[in-house]
Amino acid sequence: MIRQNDRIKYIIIFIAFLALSALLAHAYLKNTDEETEYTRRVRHVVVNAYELELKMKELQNVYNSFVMGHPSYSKDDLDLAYAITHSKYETLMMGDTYDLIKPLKEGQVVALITTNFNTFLSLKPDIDEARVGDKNLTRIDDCIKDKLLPDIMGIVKATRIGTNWKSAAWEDATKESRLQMQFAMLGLLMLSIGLFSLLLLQVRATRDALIKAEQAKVTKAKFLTVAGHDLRQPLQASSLLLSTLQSQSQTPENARLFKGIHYSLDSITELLNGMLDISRLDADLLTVNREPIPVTALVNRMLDRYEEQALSKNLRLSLINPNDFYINSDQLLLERIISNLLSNAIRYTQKGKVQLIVSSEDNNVCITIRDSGPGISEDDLKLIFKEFVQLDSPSNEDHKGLGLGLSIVKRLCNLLGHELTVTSKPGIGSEFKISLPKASAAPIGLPNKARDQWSLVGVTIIVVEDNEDILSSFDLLLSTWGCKVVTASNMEEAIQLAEKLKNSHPDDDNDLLIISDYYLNKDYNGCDVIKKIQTIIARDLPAMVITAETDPERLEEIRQTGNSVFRKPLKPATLRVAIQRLLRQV
Amino acid sequence: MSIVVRILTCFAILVMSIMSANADILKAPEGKVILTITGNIKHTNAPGEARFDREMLEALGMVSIDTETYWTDGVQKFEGVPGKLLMEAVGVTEGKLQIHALDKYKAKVPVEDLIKHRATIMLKNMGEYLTVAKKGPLWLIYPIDDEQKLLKKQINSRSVWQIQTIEVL
Repeated sequence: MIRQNDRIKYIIIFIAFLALSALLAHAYLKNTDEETEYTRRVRHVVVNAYELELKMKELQNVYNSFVMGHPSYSKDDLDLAYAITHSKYETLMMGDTYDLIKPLKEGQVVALITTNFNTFLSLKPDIDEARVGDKNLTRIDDCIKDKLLPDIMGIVKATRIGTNWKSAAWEDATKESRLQMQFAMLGLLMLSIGLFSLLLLQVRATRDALIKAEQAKVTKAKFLTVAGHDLRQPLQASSLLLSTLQSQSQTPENARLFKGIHYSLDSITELLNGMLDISRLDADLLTVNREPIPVTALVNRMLDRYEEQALSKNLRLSLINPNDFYINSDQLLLERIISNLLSNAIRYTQKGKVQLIVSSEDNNVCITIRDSGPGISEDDLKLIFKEFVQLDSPSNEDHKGLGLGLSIVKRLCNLLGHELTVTSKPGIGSEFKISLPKASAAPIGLPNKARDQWSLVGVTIIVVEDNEDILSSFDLLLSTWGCKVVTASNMEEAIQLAEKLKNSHPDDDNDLLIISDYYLNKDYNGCDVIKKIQTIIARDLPAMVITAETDPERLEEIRQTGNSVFRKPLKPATLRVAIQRLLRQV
Repeated sequence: MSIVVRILTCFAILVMSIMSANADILKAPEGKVILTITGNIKHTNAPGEARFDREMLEALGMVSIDTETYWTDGVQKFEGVPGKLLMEAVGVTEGKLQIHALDKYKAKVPVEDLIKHRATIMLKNMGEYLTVAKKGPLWLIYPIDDEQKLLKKQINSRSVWQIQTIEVL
């Protein structure tokens, strides 16, 4: 931003620039005029020097012819030729012409002309006395030929257009216009330097401001990440507690209330996630971890997550996935993209269906989310990827969010380099298609319909969690599903628990599972506890790590330990499916 | 026969006097001819020509002008016949002149220069008649002062010296 002070400075510089430019132009034109005039006068000198040579030769010719008795030449002709030659000397030795010749070769040219002229004058009596058959013929002819003409050739040579004139012109350099030109050019140069340094200062200030803004963004993102982590804990607890409460005391009368509270909790979670994602995208804090991802597992997980939501709106959520593909992408970020699109589709579709379609195109795998919602008009298509834009639709009055979803999708797709295309017909539905590169890894056989409602009755689950509220809500929820729950809030309790279990469960394979929070203590984390339990029981028990962590790098670290990772808040349905999957090893 | 010739001569004189009724008939030069005007002129004193000796020119009316030229040092006194008077003497009001000099130089000069810009045929410099050696006998000079509207470079090539013949184009 340019302050008032700066503006005045720039205006002054601009005016000075104009003034100096005008002076320069004026001086330049004047100098050009002067040079033209100088050149013209020089030409005049040169022409007259040649004239002198010519007339001298003529005089020689007339004299010789007359003395030898040529009938065409009279004494008058001889006198005239002499007088004309005399006038040529005069022209060179007077007025402007003389002024110009004077500085040539440090006066040598003038001296040469003067001597030559004096010799010429000494011939005057002989010319006056000349008559036919004059005895002086040879002497005068020789004088002209040997003395006058060679000198005149020297004069002609000295006055010819060339370096002599250039150096003479340079000697004349005290000219006003030249000084003005030099002054103006110097001024312009200094102004340019001044302007350049001013601009440099401005650029530096702008850069500092940008760096500050960038730092502020990063700080904001970090703050939001920490705040988000803390906000997830109570959210997770409320969600679990509510599910338990619902299973214990739901009646037809309060069913709508439960549904409403669930919905509100989901909304808060989603808003929180969206806000965190945007701030991280803004601050360029997201790192991309490309790896081969099995599509089938991914889309099944997505379907699990949104099945409940779709069912509650009486929408058919279906999956078309004819093949098993591996794609190259970042698992966490791709999940964010698909879940944003799916949740949008379900939110805006009032009746009909939402489809998740996997198809193959050349070297790409396309994941398409198609709905039978209200559709988007052509004008609106340009707006939907902007932040905080929500299209006006009577159907989503009570579903107001921040309008960040599609903006996040677009930015994540750009970050990952996936092509995102939208086609929509108002009244018929919309289709969002993400084009992903195929990975070279061979497809592995995964069951397609991995979502059967397996029973959890009789399964023993070890829950490690330092937060009492969450621990008790886990206990309640898992108990209602028929699980046998054992809880520990720290490493010591977990070790005790494990040793107790080792004795009571000698070799039952599929009914023991560990769920642990990641952040437990500053000395150890969930992964350490899981490893300890696994060592004690001496079996590779399936384990889940639940965390409010959002840093993709940290999540990847946890995943590297071989444990499944789930982000808080975890919804009951997701938790249930995850447990089933882990136990059946699918 | 001689009567017929006389009658014809008288008739010719009569016709000529009628033709130049509003101007003096140019008298014939008595001394050495120093200027010949040819071409498109109204008044002549020889077949198709107007010839002038020094006395005839001086009789047209002399003026004295102090001016500098590019070929002399400082301001100098020149005396001569205003070009305007010379043009009136031969009945020329417009057009162009081709001026020929003894040294074979020639230049085109608009009649306007003589009438408007005061170009003068000089005979004397510093009180003395111009010789051929001093760019005489006649030198066309443009007075250089505040009233002079012509540019230096225009004046330069038109200031013909050693004038011999003026051809009216």
